[in-house]
Amino acid sequence: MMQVSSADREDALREAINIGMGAAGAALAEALGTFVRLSVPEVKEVPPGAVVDLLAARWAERQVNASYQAFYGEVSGEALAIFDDTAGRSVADLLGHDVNDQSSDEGRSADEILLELGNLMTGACVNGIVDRFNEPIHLAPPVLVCQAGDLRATLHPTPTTASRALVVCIDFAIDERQFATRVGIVISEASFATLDEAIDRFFADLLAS
Amino acid sequence: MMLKKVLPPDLLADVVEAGGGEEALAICQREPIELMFLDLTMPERDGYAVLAELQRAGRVPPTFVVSADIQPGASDRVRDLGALAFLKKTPDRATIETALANAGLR
Repeated sequence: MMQVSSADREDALREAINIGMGAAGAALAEALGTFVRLSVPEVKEVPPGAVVDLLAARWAERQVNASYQAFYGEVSGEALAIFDDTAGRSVADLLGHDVNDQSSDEGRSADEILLELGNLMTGACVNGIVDRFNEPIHLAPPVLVCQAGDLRATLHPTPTTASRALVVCIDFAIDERQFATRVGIVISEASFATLDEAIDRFFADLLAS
Repeated sequence: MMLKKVLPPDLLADVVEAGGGEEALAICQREPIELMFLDLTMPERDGYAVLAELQRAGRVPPTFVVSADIQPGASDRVRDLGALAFLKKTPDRATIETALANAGLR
């Protein structure tokens, strides 16, 4: 197996994250019928105790809604979709739904809409990243973990013996709607070796093509 | 940079890399560029803003946008701003060669 430098591994991982971001952005744009602004993903390896602060950065003073999904496979971890508290109504407005009308199938609540969107975006992000390296994963159903609340007060670090976690934060915005959302992905240290091997295989295939 | 791994060798002879949108603009304004591979999601100014600024100045070099931003309309937007092609990340060498041929650069 070829030796891939750590710089090349980091480049390949960032490329995969960009591709996941692009898939999620496209999914959001198609769902809402509008243009979505993408930001450069933030990627950091941190001690488990720093994960919540990193995920919640820039959301600290805001009331937010957040959905949570764990994912399992050779690469495992957790994902969050964070929405500003006003996002549900912005999205409902874009979709032409009346969240106050529960009498029809389209009268979904704002929470239900955000849960669906969160599932769509975290699925696209996580699958976009791991597909790149041919590492299939299974995503658990999403759960709403924060409703119009303080994210830092809601999130608690998962008990772990790990010393590191890889945290990816990807921000999306619809400027004319003042709509902003973040997908946060935490990949467990137990998956690092698998990820490195997958990146090495990816490079071998890339250079052979 | 991943793209350099798959560029045809003859394109690697004289490569200048920009770390973000502002640097890309400065380079384009400073020296003639034969071919630019431009990402859309970048720090400082994004690729759309870079192309728009270059188009305003009448200085868009031959440009292939290479991006993971595949939302509806992205490809049309960059072509309207003067890009020759939109290549989805990460293009392989064959895709780049085809784009070069289609742009009359081969």
